Amino acid sequence: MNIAITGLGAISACGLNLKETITNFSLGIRQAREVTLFKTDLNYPVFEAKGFIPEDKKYMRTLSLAFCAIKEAIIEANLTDFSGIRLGICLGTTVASQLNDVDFYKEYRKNGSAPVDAAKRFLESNLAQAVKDYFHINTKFCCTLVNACSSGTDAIGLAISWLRNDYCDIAIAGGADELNRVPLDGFNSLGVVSNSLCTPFDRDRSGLNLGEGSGIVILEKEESALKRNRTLDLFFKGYGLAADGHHLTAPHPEGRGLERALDFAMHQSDIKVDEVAFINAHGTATRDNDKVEGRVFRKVFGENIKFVSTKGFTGHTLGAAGGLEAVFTCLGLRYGWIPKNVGFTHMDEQIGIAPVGVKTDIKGRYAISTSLAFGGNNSVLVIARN
Amino acid sequence: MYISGIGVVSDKTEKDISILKGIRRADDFSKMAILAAHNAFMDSGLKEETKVNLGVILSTAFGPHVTTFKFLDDILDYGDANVSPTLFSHSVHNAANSYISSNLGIFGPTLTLTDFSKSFYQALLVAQSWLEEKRCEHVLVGYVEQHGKEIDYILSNIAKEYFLKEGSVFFLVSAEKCLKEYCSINVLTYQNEFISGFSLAKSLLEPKNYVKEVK
Repeated sequence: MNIAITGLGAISACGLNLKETITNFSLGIRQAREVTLFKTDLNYPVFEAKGFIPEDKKYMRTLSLAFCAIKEAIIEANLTDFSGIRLGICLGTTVASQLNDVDFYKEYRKNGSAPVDAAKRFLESNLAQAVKDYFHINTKFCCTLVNACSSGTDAIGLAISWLRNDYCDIAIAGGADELNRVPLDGFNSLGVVSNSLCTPFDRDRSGLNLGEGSGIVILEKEESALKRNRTLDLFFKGYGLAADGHHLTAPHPEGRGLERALDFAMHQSDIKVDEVAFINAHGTATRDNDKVEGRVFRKVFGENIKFVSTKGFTGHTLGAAGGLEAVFTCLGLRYGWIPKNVGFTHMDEQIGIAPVGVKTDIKGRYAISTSLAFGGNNSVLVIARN
Repeated sequence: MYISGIGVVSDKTEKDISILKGIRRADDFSKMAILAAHNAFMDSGLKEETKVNLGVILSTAFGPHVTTFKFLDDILDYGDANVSPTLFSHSVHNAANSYISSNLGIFGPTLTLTDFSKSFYQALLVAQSWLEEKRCEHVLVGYVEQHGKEIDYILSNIAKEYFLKEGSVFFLVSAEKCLKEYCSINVLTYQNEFISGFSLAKSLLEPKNYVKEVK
């Protein structure tokens, strides 16, 4: 069964919508700055969605980011009326799943009690459930995945399964996450945050920058999309998911799980390695991730594979990353080019292949988006253009 | 799909010390998850090689919030730059699933999901979906919850009635009948969306409720 992609939506530091994102990709502009969203002792560049104004402060920022991207996607999909549609919602996040309000906890710890407004807001912020309520969607296929940095990719993968198993006809899928003090402190404690702008796959890379955003795709059975007279230019072909079974915070040194996930996704898509036009890599710019990921690319696809990490434009947006990068992969196929891997200068001999150093035209019908998550989870999407 | 193994961990469960030896740094949330997953696999009688493509789906409402609050203690006590990396890594929802795969030697698909009222139901749906599309033949699907004074305070101030105990339950579900077969379950036709893992486990473990199909 063919699964069409009938709508795309994206918001990140690279742009508050698809148009801005494409412009900044084309010009190689990246917009990082010091943290302004919360107080912190840490002085790192981060990728905030500058200029984004949440519509209502009663929602967590993560939800507002998701609502923004979903609205853009459903407009493209011409899906403003959900009545009578068998619809699923599958979204990934990290921050919206955790009760990590420092101010609430500070007061509770001090006094043994505190106003529970923040906690109440958290209990109303299960991402998929909140989207269901906000858009007044009636469905029992409503799932929030918390698979760390691959959450967005896995949400799309699960939604594909729902459609293929005929649980629903259309699905809203992707991920969202806000920049938040707790993960910034946490990633800093792991020693993987860079003092300067990140340089994915570069020999001298020194770690990641955190970011925020939301990337959303509207998935639809081909027959449903044709009935609604949608133009079909993009399709999801395959999804692979495999655990390293190795370590809580480090990838398997040989990329065991990533290779298995790639193999499953390619097999499900029924395509060969030489048909892959490009890969949108996870490419966090940490020493371990980029080495493992790049070496697997070289092993599986050979030395000439074109690949790019877009995290130089967005930062690492955690639960949103898989959603955003699936959208960026779609844009690459739709417009026939991918942005340069900003920040890359020198090839890392330990990896042995280099990402695209300039804005690059691509040919071919198929592209891949990869996500390697904390916890050793590896997820792969195969996307095709018509 | 068929339920072919069950593992339950509560405060009354005898702990399998041999499994816990390899996870001394894990928090209680992860330990409960690993023990129940291990018990479910052992209960099924499936061969060790099955683990190569065994799926794992962990569901929870609140995740490892006890560890999250300990991490917030670190921020408040020592500042942003001096927090514990161990506490941070264990405060992430899918840390428990990572422990399950790495300590039990599982290399199949792993997924963690959260929902405040029907996360276990959603997990069963994912399992059924994976089995139907032949992503794997067997899936460990479970539910883990932890009790803590902070969450107790929050829930008691927000909800008129609430019930939060801690424990972990895992089912090994299979596409085909296996050595052991507790019952079959079709999640899509299951009427009560608010099923909890514990109530289902209790129901299945009592002989009088030993049903062939749960509807």
